[in-house]
This record gives sequence, C-alpha cells and structure tokens, in this order.
Amino acid sequence: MTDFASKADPAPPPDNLDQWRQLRSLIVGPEREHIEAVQALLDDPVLHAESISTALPDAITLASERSDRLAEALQPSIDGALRASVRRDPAAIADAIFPALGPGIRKAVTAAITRMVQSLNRVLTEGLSLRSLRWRWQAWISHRPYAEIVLLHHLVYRIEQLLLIHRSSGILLAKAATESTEPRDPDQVAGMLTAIQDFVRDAFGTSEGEVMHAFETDAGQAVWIETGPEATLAAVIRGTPPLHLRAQLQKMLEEIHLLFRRKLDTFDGDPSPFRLVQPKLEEALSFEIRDPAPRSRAPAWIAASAGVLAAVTWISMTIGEHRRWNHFLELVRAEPGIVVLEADKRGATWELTGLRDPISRDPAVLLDRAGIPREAVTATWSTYFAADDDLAARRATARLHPPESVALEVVKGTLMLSGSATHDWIARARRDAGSIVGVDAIDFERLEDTQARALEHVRQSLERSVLYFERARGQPSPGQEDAIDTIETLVREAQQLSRHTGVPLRIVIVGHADPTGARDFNHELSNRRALSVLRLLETRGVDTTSVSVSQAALPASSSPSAATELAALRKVTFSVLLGNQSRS
Amino acid sequence: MIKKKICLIGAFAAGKTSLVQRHVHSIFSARYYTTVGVRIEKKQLQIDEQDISLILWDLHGEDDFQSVQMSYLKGASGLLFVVDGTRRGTVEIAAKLRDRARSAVGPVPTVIAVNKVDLDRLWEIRARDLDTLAEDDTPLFFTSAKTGESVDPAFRELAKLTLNRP
Repeated sequence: MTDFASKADPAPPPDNLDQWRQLRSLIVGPEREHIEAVQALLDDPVLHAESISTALPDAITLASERSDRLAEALQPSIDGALRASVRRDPAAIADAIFPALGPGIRKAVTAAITRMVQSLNRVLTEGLSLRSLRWRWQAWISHRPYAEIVLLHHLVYRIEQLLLIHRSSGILLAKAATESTEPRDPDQVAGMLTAIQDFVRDAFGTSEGEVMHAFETDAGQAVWIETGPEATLAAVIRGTPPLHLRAQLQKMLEEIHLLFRRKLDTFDGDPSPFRLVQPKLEEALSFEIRDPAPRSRAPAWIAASAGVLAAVTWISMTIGEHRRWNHFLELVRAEPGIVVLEADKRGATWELTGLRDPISRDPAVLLDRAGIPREAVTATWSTYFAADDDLAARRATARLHPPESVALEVVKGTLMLSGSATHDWIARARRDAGSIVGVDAIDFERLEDTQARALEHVRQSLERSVLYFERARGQPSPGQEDAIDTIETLVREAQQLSRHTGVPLRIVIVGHADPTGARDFNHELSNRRALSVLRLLETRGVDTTSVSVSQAALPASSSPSAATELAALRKVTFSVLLGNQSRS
Repeated sequence: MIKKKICLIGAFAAGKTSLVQRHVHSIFSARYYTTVGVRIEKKQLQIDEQDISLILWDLHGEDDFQSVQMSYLKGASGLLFVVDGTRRGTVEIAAKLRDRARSAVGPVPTVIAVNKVDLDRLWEIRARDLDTLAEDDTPLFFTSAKTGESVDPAFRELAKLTLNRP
C-alpha cells in the first residue's frame, strides 16, 4: 500500500497544488471513499462484529466441510463453557437432554427387564399346576417365553384418566377420561395433585429432581405420575398395570415436551394449544382390559384328569420335541461343511451356532426332514471353507460348470476329470481348477478333447481318400466330382479343427504313377498329378498354405501288370500330419 | 378459557376460606388444610368478554404452629394476601409472607384484602399499619366475607392484573 501510494502520489509542484488535488479527487475519489468505509468497518468493533456475524454461519459451514480443524480448535472452549454451565445450573442441561435421555435409559431398563423375565422363567419352570400347564401350552403354541404368558395373565388394568398438567402452576393443560370416570373437576384435581407432589417433596425433604411416581388405594386404583421438566402426566389406573406402561407414559411425555417445548416454556395460562395433545391422550386410554381367566367349575377329578392328561401330553410332546431335535443334530453333524459349535434351547426356540461352508446343504432342509418347524430354530452361522473331497467336488462343479459328458470327482485333493469335453472347456478348466479351495492337483488324463478326436477322424477319412487318373494324364479322371467334393470338405474341416484346437496340421498330396513307361516321366507325372489336385483345391477357394505336394516312390517294374491293377496305381492319396509330425 | 393460578395467603383464621366460600367451589374438604396445607378451589370470571378460570390455592394460614409452604407458590400468576381487620398482628404476618413470596416467585400481581370489615366495632387496624404492607401500586380492598362486600371486585382486580401481564 505504502509503496503504491508513494509511486502514485509524487510531490506536486506548489503552484498546481489545488488543481492537482481536484484532479486526484476526481480520479481516485470514489475508491478512496470506499477504502475509508472499509477501514471504518474494520476499526469499529461493533460494525466489525456485525459484518462477521453475517459471514460467520457460512464460514463455519465451509470450514466444517473442509476439515475437522474448526471443531478441534473450538473443542476446549466448548468443553469449558459446558462445564461452567453445568456447574452454574445443572437443571438446565438436564432439561435440555431430557427428551434424548429417555430412550437411552428405557433401552437399558428394557434389557434389565428382559434379563429378569429370563430368570423368572427358570424359576417358573420348576412349578407345575393345572393353570401353569395351560399357560405352558399357550406359550408353546405361540412361541413365546412361558414367563411372558404368566405375566400377561396377571395384567388386568384400565387407564381411566390421563391428565397433562403444567408442572410449576399445576394448571391442567389437557385431559382424557373414559366415559364413566370423568373426574369431578379436573382443574382442581390437577392442582391438588401438584400440591400433593409439592407436599411430599417438602414433607420428606427430597430434592427438586426427586418426585413422587405413584400412589395407590385399597380399591385397586393407582395414580402413576410421570414428571418432565415442564409438564407432568398423571394416569389414573384401575387394576395392575404392566411395567411397560410406565415406559409408554414416559415416551408420551417426552414427545409432548419435544412438540410443545416452546409453549410449555412460555405458558401463561392459555391451555388451548394443548388441545392437540387430546387425541394422543385418548388413544392412550384405549388399553384393553384383559379379563381374568374364568375359574374352572369342573369337578376336581375332571380337573385332575385334565391335568394329568395335559401333563402326559406335555411330557410326550417335550420328549418328542427333544427326539426330533436330537435327530436333527445327528443329521446336521453328519452333513459335510457344517460344524455345530453350540446347540441350546432358549424359551420356546432352539438356538444353533456354528460354522457353515456356503456350498454345504441348507440346514433348513434337514430341519424339514427332522420334522421341526423352521421358525422354531434360530441359527447363527459363520462362514468357513471345508477341505472335504466331497465339498471340494461340489465347489469344482459350481465353479467349472462341466458338461454332462464330463465326470468330476475329488480324491484326496486331486480333481479327476473323465469323459469328453470341448477343447475350450478343457482349456478353461485347466485355468480355473487350480484356484478351487480343496483342490491340490488336477488329473485330465481321462478327459478326451472332442475336437482333437474329430480332427483324428478327419485325418483318417482324408488318408483313405483316393483320386484316380487316366494313363499318362495329369488331371483326375472324370466322374470323380463327389470324391473331390468330399476331399475339399475334409481338408476344410481339418484346417478348422486344427485352428480351434491349436494342433498343428500339414496335409501332403501324394502323386502316384504306374510302372509302365519311362521312370523319369512317371516321376514327373506323379508330381503333376499331385499339383493338379492342389490347383483344384485352390480353384475351389481352399486355403492351401498348410497343403504341400509329394510323389510316392515308383513301384518296381516287376509289379503286376493287369490293366485293373495298373489303373489302381494311377492315383493321388493324402497324408495328414498332426502336431509335431507336421513340422518334420 | 384462560386459567390462572392464584394463591390466597394470610395469617391463620384471617378469613381466607370464608372470603371465597360464597363464590367459589371446591371438591375438597377442609381437612386438606390441616393435612396437606392447601386446598384447591376454582372461581370463574369474565373480564372484557374473556372467560378466565382462577385456580385458587387456598394455603393454610400462617401461625405459631404452621408456616406457609412456599413451594405451593411456584407458578402462581397472582397472589391475594388476606389480613384480618380485627387483628393487627395479621398485617405483620402478611408483610412477612409477602417478602418470602417475592423471594420465592418474584414480582407477581398482588392484591390485598383487609377482611371482616363488617366487624367495625372490633376493628384494630389503622391506615398507617397498612403502609408497611400496601405499596403504591398494590390494590387494597376492604372486604367482608359475611356480606360479600368488595370480595368480587378484589378477585376481578387480581384477574385483570394477571391478564395484563405479558
């Protein structure tokens, strides 16, 4: 800035000072004003703070997106502020986290209750009575723990009234009541309930956070009170309410706090916003009354007989169940690829833990075979790969997808393949079989390549093929078109199979001549005959790069000289060389 | 309908209950005073076409044996102090209670009822006695539970004050 100013603002001659100033204000006036405004903004803490306050939210968002540095930098300050706040007013923090705290605590309590029910289950298992047998039956058919059924039978209750009360003033915010139990004056009841809570707190010297949760009457009525930071929910209940009802009331109160936090904070006597809570309260009244099981009026002996019958049935069913289960365990233990680590009965369900190879048979099939309903068993399997030959063979089958013509087995870790398959499949199998778990070696000896076999067939057919010639002629005798067609086809097939299988191929057209006439002439004639067949194939479009010509050794002149025998010697034959032979 | 919590406070036997007995209705018996120390009553009014329900917390009177539980004042929108015009000592008690109430709930609309105005021959309180209790802006009513004189205006005034509160 300073350098720029010194260069841009040289000392003006004194006589032109005014003009120069005028000129300068014209040129840089607006920018100077702007700079001054910016400087003023930076110098004034109030304006500066205001300016930062508009940019701060975006700046924080950007900084948070880029890295955690901002959070790390702020952490000590936030920690300190939070500690100071908690020291000054612990209730404020407690109130703020109240809606979030409830679900966590409830979860812990639920777990504790579940454990309690389980231990209760063990105790109850010891007891045996006609009623317990009936409930046990019910537990069995409903797949629920026996203890839960027992508890359900004891739950006979009805919520008669629900009052939502502003905590500090005791003013009724909303209420719901069953038709016959409308309170005489809910406003006064709400006030009195609040007063009684205050009374208990004062009388017994409990602290602000400790509140009365319930009181009961001899007439089987109870009032359960759930207290939140700003509101209290009182439930007038007849009978024996279940424990989970307390959690439901807590949840409802937490929801009300979440939804109406502001209205509750600023409540000044107008309960009209809370009429929205009314349906929620009425819904909560709809808990059904569970009628107690009617007492049996049957004579004692009928009850006793029924008891004995039930006991016998139950025992036989239990025995049957155990037998089926043991049978299933035998099956599953014999099954390759499944290792049972733990098998135990919890309540009405069996629990199974173990290791299972993904390729092994689905244990549910074994359950069906043992006659155990699938839903009666909870199984937890960890994956492992078994090295058994049988499973390795299954894995190989799943991996290689062999055609029906291939038989596959694994013997002591060696994958044995037999039968026949295409050259491509064999090549793929050679490539993939090495990576199959449980396969250490591969034996392809007994596996035939179908295309190599076809090539061999073509070779044999071609080597049996003959074209005949007139005496002293280099062109095949007429009337042999079919034979020539066949030869052309065989040559083409041989070439195609060679390409496919990768087996090198060489076809040699061998010219022959009868022994009559000059030897040199016959030698040349043999060569001409072979060449003429080569040209013939070429004219038919056959690729002759793998085709060559040769002459057969001339027969000795002492050979038979009958006309037919001589004609049979005037010919062209084919020699097919495969693999290494073709290169020799 | 707007609802306001109002606390009735005063010395023992200052006539708080009698003051409201003619106009209010309670479902709770008088035994609550001696047990819980409070009885809830309700009085309904109409102020400028606005229905208002005063939930009255009628607190057991302060005496040598029992003191008013200040926790009952929590959340109150208005306080009605009752003084027995025939017992000068009740003014002092009311003043003490007012100070305690203020420290418990802060400044809330307040009305003072000097009761038993019908018993003029037994009247003990003079104007200067009330100076310690009634501040400049605190409305003061001379009431008679027996004749009903000024009882309703006292409640109406308190109701108006609570409604004007922000």
